[in-house]
Amino acid sequence: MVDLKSLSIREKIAVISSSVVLGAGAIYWMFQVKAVIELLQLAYG
Amino acid sequence: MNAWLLQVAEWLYSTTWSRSIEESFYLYNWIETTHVLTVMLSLGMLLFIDLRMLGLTMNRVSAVKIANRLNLPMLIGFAIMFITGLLLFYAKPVYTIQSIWFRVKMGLLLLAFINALVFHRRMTESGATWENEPRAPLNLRIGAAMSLGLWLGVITTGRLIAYDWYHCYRDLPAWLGAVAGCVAD
Amino acid sequence: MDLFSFFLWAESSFLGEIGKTYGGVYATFGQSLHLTALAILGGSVLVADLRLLGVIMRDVPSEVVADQAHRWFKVALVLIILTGVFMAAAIAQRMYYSPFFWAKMTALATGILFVFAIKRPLLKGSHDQIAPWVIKLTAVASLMIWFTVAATGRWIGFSG
Repeated sequence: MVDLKSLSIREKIAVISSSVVLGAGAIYWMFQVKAVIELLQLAYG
Repeated sequence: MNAWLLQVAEWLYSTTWSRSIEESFYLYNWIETTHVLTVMLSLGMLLFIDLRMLGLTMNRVSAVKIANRLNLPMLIGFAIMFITGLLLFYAKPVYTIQSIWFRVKMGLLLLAFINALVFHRRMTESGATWENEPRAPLNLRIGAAMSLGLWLGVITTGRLIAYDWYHCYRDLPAWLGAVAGCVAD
Repeated sequence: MDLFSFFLWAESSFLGEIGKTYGGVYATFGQSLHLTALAILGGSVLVADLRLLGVIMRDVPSEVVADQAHRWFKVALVLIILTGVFMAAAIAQRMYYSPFFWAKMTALATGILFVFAIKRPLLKGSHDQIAPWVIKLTAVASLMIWFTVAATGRWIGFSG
């Protein structure tokens, strides 16, 4: 499905950076959601 | 009229769900955040429609096509704005109903809505004759410009609701008190 | 001058003083104008990315949409940064200590870099030459970044 060899330089850069961005974003938001859940448990038990 | 509005607002304030939303840890803030961020969808799409009418974007694409394509995401955005707006009002009904900015915002919203209906009808009627021109005819350009102006007003007055500079507990001139909905005790 | 001193200086600067003293000016020329710029910026990002994902305007060439959206994106970016600086100056010390402010700045810097160094160079020419999944991946990343900027930005107001 994913043919990585035939991508141009620009495409490769785009894939790598997009993946990094999405990965970093996912991690950031997971931490945020975790913090919210903890606070809600503290507040509402 | 103001007394009646205040009564309704006070009744809404006394309901359990109203209290739950306003006093909850995150819920009010999430609803408010959704309301503000969804502006990007509703007004974002509308902006591009208006800009096309004014010839300021994508003017080699049919204006009617752009309006028709962006209409649905725009309306979805407005639906979310309306629901979240309603909930925000419901959570702080007394404060909001007596906010001069809220009242002006509602007036501007009504005007924007009427403007949109008139615009849409005129566009549908005449569109086929000018849709591939870079700019819409003058009356529709005016409509698009009015749309932009009115929504700028909605954003601004919406933001100002949070500020209580002219709230009823302040020392207000009589006319301002009346417009803001203050009721003598 | 270190970072903290810069923030202190910003708050006592002319810009910071105006924003702190005149709440009305802060609320209209700072916040409301910032929100207006948000509508333009968010709109341009959504129009382009939703088109690239094939969700809207499928019968309009994606090159045209991406191109035109980018023009207005730049306008919005300038306005949003100017109003943002104005607002931040007035409460600079508080911003220095706000984790959401820094999260937003990180996301903003990432976003600007992503748009001008990666997305725009990729999408400038014809889109037929680009693998569709690469375009879609880029569009999703773009949406994620700007959503994060907007959300952390709003959350600055709720914290501290």
